[in-house]
Amino acid sequence: MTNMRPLSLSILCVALVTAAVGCKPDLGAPISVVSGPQILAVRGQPAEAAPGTMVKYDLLAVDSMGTVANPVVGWAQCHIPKSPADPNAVSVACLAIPDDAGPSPTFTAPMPQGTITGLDGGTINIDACQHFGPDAPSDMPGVRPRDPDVTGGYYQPVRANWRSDAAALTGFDLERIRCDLANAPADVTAMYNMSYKLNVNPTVASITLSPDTGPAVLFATTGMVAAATVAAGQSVTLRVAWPAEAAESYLVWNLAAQALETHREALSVSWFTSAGQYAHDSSGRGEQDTTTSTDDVWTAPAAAGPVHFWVVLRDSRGGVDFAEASIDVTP
Amino acid sequence: MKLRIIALGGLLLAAHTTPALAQSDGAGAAASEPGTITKPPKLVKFVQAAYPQDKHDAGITASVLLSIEIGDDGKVGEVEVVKGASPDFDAAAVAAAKQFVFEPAEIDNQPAPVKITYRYDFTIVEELVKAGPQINFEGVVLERFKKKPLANVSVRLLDVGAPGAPVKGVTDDDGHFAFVDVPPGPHKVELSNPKLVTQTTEEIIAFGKKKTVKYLIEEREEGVDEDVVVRAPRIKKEAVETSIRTEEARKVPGTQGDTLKVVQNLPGVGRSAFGSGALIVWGSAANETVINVDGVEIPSLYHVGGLRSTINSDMVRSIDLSPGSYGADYGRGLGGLVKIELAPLTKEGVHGYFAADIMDASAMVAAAVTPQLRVGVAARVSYLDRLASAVVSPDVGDFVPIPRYDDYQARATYALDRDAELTATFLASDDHLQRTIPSDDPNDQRTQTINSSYKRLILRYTNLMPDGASVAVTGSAGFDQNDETDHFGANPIGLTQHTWQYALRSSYRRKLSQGFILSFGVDMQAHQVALTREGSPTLPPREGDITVFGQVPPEDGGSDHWNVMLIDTAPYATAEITIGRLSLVPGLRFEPTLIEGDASLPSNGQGTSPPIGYARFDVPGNPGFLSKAPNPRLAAAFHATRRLTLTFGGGIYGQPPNPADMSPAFGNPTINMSRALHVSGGVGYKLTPTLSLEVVGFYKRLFDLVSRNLSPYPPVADALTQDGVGRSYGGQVLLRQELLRGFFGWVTYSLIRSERLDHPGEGWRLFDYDQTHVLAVLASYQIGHGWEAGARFRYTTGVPRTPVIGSYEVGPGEYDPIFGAHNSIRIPAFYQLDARVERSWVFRRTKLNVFLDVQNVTDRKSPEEIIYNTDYTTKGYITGLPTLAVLGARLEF
Repeated sequence: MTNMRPLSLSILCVALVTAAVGCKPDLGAPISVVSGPQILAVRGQPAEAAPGTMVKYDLLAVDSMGTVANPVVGWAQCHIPKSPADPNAVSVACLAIPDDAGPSPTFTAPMPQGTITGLDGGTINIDACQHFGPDAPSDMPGVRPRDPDVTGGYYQPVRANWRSDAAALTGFDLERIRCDLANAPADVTAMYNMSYKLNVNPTVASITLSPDTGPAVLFATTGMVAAATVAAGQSVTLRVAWPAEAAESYLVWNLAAQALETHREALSVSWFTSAGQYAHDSSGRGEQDTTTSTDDVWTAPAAAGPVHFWVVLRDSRGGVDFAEASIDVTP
Repeated sequence: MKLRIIALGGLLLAAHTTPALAQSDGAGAAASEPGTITKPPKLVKFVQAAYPQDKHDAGITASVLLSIEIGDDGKVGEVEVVKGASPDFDAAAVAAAKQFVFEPAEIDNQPAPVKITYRYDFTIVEELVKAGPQINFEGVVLERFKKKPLANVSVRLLDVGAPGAPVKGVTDDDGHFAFVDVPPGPHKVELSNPKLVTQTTEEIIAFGKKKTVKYLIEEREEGVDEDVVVRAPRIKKEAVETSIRTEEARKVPGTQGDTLKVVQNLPGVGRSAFGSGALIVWGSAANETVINVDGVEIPSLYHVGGLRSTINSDMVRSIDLSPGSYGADYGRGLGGLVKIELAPLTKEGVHGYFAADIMDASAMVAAAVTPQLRVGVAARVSYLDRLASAVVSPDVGDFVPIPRYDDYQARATYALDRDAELTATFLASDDHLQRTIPSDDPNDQRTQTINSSYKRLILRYTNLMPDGASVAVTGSAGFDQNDETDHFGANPIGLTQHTWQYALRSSYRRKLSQGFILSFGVDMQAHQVALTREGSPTLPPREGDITVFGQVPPEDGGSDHWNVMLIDTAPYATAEITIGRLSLVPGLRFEPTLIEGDASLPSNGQGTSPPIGYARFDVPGNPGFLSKAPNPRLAAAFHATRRLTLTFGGGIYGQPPNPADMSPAFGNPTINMSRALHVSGGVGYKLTPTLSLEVVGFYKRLFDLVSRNLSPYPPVADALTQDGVGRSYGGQVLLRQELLRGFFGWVTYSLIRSERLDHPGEGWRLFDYDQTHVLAVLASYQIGHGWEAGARFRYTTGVPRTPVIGSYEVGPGEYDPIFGAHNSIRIPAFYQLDARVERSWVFRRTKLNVFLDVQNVTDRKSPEEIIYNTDYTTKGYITGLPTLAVLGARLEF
């Protein structure tokens, strides 16, 4: 079959030639506007772990009133990979498995390794590198190994079920697994194992508001923050900054080129707010861009009152950090 | 099933320097009946027009182009001036033409009314002052192979002289013969000798000119009955056949004058996905329909986006669309068959056209360099992308992906002798599409680049042999490029496919006895394919994928490079049997295919596991114990009455594996041929000579279809499986008024259901492009004074989609959809009204046509695709084109 559906979009918009109007319908508020309970991110610490390494998970659960403290969350590590033909990032089968732990705001568990004993007394292979990595499952020889992402990474899905008063929501952390290099010569593998550095979660250094009256730091890891106000309907620039070391360099085996390459992480910021509207839902810096901040323009709502901002900073190897800030919108 | 469009424009304007039937062979120009013209009309009584005296005295000559209706009794009906000279010339020509008498044309061996175009030339021939009897027809008769003169050959003019007493002569020792004062016009000539094969041919004697000919004839074979040595007339090989004239096709609203695009409005053809131009016929996927040009396969009928066809309409003589149940001479497809026959080049002078509209410009020039050598070139270049970027804001070009396309054709025909011809054809088509959706987030920036092209060099030899047999040998070589590279942020997804194609098709056809014609041949084809792919296995999408429009592909992906060679040699044989009112066309086709590849397992990247290739033969098997026998094909027609015809067709068909599916990393190198069973039956009824009704039912069963392996743990080199089956069934109705008094149109309705079962044990699901109801109503009318107007209305059921019933967060601002039952909802129905108006001006040697083709005149926002917001909580529809007016002009000379 040809690439029919993606192509169709391209031609659909030929209408713009004559009308310069969108052919895409209005689908309501953008994802950056938080109007109810919402999981904005699930984070593992450390960002990358070898099988057997303990990982602590938490999440950013919010609603329109702000960040939800101590959310009621059930946790589970999913051992069911998606089919390579599945366009989703996580198998829908991971929704049906029972919780491993919780309710608890956090969850600590080792990266799955080896086998465990099932309820029927049999052994169950849960090894993360075998189910989600390049290693064939020991109990299923001849199975197609998993494909890495463009950074060479494999990911263990960890599910968080948040049962708020208003809704039951599900979010996943895709925790990067440190597995052996696949499909590479032995010398390359040795070099890789010696030189590769585990991913570290990036950190949000600050959130700065830049109205015409001058910048105000709304959030900083140093704790030095200032109160700020914005007039209703006013557009202001928000800036998220991170330390230079947040964008790490890493090795990746380029299978097509059969070469071990060094890349630098790209960083993306997902913007969220409880009111008003962003110009973009996300922004960021590419692999070659060494700038340590990114901006977005936020337009205050017409109604006065407190407004919450959340930013989720993510590196291209799956590392995550998030931060919150608040301001008052004045009439 | 067969739907046929006959391109006639060039033939209609065949020029003659003297008043003679403006139709050298008559076989196409008079195609007003939806069948095969078995006999053209013949002018048997010519009336000299009264030359306007003042013009004659002033030495003014003129030509008047007439449209003449000829009844099924041969009498002239309405005569209209198509291209006039002056009122007195026009009136004189019309008055003379109304007194002409013809032998009626025959369609399917039945007299039928036709309309021809005739050019009446007013010339002043002062030399016509006769000085006595003049030899105006002479020639020499030679033995065909040794070229030695043949004496004592009887040469007879069968239609000159008293009935039953034809004018005749005999060749002398030099093989020479001559006739004196043969009346102008077409005449049947017969050459005979007891030792020679009797040959009949036709010559046109021009007024005031001498015709000199050379005949090559063959000595008689032992045991061949002379009575059967005639050209074998073709009988319909398909169960149902519909013909549409090119001049009708050009005027269909919404096609912008592109003849080949009218195919999308014919019965059995579903509406293609918007912007794809894919042919969905009888519930088959687009890649299951094979497209042939003069017997050579090409990869695509339309440019990317379906805006234009890849072959210039003026290069096309006919296009046959067989949705299924086609004959044994073609294969390699589970679905339909498109056969494009290229038009013969002009036999005299220089002719061509130039056309332009808001999308592209095209031109063609053809010339008869010598009586033997004819050449023609055509080209089309698009500029819609540049035009759009000039009239809208610059960044719109980033969001509006407009394909850039061009195509070229070149053709040369050399007449080796009277009946043998060698033709060289070059076809080329290029498509480029590039779009960028910029984003402040590098992970959200998307780019798409498509470069696709094909080239074909075709050498074709045809020979109509004196014994009535015909031979055609077509060799070709070509190169196809299909490169697509997408980037979703840093995530690359690409597939490049470079194919060298070689083909040789030869056929021999001969009438063996009355009512029995045998055809056989060999259809060979080789594909040498080099492929590279990287990125997610989920892209490019496949029919049957459960996905949602706009879904970001997974970030996991692989890489592979592999080579595949497919060689199949398919001998075939077909008999055409006529028994009274019954016509039968049984056929057999044997299609062994060599499947060869260089990698049966993915590379382990460590150099310890060298690639292991494979080579195997496969054939599209028949059911039961004849599984390895040739595939049977059959078409039958029973002419119950002159108006009523019953038809039946069917066969087993095979399709080689798609090399893109044979990647050890992304596909399965063990994939073999898929196959299908087609069965169809129908009834045709002619309400009037030009108004017909056809009803056809069909059933198709598909076997060994390729689909994705949905297991979470698929084995190595098993990402695709081949245990899918499919079925499609339904019916179609066509009520059609052919061109009559300036009006033509048709109403077609198809009721089709197409389903697939991807894996044993699963339930049947709807085919991705299933369209239950497809309705098209179109009409065009010549208002007069050069004005024409037409309209088209289309209604189709929306195609199936899989609903999203929930979602879950998989990253900041990223969600995965939860799908409901596979293809259990549909996009809302599509309906649209298009209109077209055009004005023509005819000058002395040129014709100017200006048209305005308005699509979606009611500006209906037709849903074309379902789209969701980021977390899949809100659903909407992407809508199609708003009212879009295409203004164009065409200048013919």
